[in-house]
Amino acid sequence: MPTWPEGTVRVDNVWKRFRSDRTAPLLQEKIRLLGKRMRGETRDWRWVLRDVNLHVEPGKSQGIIGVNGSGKSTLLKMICQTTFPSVGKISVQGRIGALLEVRAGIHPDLSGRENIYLYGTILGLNRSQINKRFDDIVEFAEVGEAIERQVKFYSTGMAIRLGFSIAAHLDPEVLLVDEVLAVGDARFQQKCLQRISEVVAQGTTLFYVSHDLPTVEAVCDRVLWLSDSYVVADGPARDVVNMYRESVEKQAQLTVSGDGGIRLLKVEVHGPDGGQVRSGEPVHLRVVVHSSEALFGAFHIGISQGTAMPIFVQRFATSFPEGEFELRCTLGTLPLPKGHYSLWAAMRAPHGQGSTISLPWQPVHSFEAFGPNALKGPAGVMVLSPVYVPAEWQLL
Amino acid sequence: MPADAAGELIITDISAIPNEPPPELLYRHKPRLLDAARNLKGRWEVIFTLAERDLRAAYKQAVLGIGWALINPVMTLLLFTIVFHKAFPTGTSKVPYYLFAYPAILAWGFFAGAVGSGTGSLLQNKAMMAKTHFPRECFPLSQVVESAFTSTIATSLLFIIFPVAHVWPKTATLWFPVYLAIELPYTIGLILLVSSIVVQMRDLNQLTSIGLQLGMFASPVVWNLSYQKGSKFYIPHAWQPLYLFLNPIGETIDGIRRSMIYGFGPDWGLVGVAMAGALVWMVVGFAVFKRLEVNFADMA
Repeated sequence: MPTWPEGTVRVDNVWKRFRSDRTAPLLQEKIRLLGKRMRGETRDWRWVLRDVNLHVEPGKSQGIIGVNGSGKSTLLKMICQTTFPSVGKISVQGRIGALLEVRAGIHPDLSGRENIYLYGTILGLNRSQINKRFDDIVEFAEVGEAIERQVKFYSTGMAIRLGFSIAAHLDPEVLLVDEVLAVGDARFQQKCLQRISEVVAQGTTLFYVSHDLPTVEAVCDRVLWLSDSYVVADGPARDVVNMYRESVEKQAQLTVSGDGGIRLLKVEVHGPDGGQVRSGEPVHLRVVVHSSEALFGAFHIGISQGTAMPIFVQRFATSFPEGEFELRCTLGTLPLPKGHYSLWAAMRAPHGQGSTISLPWQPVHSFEAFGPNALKGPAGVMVLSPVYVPAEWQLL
Repeated sequence: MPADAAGELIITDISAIPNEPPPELLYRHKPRLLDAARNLKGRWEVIFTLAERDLRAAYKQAVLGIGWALINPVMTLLLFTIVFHKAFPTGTSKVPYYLFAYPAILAWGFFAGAVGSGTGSLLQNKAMMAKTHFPRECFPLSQVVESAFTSTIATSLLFIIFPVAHVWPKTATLWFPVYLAIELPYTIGLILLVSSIVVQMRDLNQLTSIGLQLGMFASPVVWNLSYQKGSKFYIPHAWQPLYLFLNPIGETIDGIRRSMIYGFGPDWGLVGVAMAGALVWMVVGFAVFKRLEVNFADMA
């Protein structure tokens, strides 16, 4: 067997299954299962990962994305070697540090100081190695004098910061991060991302699981996309994230119901003279609507990239007639860089205005914008939404 | 980072992946006990750290702190002296009852303390199990260390009890390591067995506390192993080997008491049987634990 350098992670043909009957460990359930086995039937199994292959070299960062329940966390747990793959082999060279539910491993009855030593030892460091990092950990966690206090008297934010700080300063060869940045305030999130980038720059291999696509793009070299136990794609971060965004939008479009009182018959988006949509130039929208009753309300549109959160919205409130009508909107300038975008729309009467019909917020159309590429921030800094701003630089 | 440095984009052909993998590739968990035991050797630090953590946490907000390690056995001793002295005549005429009972309370207390807190040790450390991959035995074993620590503190009371009783411990007391060598593997075996099974069968949580209570009466804590003048409860000589094989702690309790108070050396026949029993318990416990550990992370 070849030996790989420290920090290498290899996942070969890994499958994982769970028992689908494990919710009822009661006696009667056991008896039913026993009877089933006597009749020669096997248990019911649920496959949560199918044929996953992943080779990550030291110092690379691998993102894992996918909807809830697609197997992301299970894969991470197997890399952490806390649970065994049902089929296949996972080999990890070097010490593993895990940032999974950061607060969960912190013991509430112990002081912050005791927790730091506890965790350090358990992750395989000796006392002097922890001493060396102690001040950095306390400083990063911003807990100050509270380090001598029992953690149960910490605020939620302090406990999370301490948990993250301990795990992030123990210099493992492989670092696993699962959705930890959903907590903490924005400034601390940014600090965490910064720290993660530093750790990667020092040669640590990173696995990063998140629903937050901008951070995945900011942090990872490559991304693995899991969907319903299968690996859909594995490749450069931006390519895979864009594929994932498009698929999420397609899914959302499929769920649009046509039987409401308001229906969109036609949606068009085009550039200045009916041509391509281009950055920094005017954009024309044309929407044909059918309403089963006249209503006073507002029509909203928004443009987004892969999420229900629009980059910006426009709103038009007036009395709409019954039947078919057409809305036109011209955006003076398109403030977006090159990319694939979707147009979301909603229509509803204000609260208490009597009308029972409405159009829920949903993607109704998608389009390509042509122009300059979006710029990436410095390592570890995420760009939340792509916006195109014309700029001129001077060096004086 | 330029895109080409991040490698190529691979899109999976999902239709080429079968619904289930070939069954012959399924992972069968067949742990090798010797390897596992060897792997445990470098983990003392983790075991002791976990024990230290639990001790610190347990006594942190208690006003009397570590004093409870003394108060608990004293209370038990008072209870025994007042209640069981009458209920279980033991023929202890030569020494006061409290002296007769205390060494047994110590030996039993170590065992019961370890098994009692060790049962749930995997369930309680779920969060830590999800992040770290050192051998799972460390969790229950840390409870053995914790119990050993409190028992050692409780042992210091012997320095008071003996003078109060106007009795001097006999030199045969020095045989105690032999008896601990029986108790330790038995405790380890039972704690591994119970803590691993309880992960998938929570019923055992309830059963353990009942079992420990019954076990105390089934062990010669409040009665003498052999017949003494006036005793009602004892194990006939013919049955003692079988009894001690199944419940090796009986020999620990009885042996420590006999050597410490009455000055007898070990009965090597019975020690051998009990030691064999204890080792069987340990191997069985370890084997079951390693067998079941594959499910810990998924079911705890």
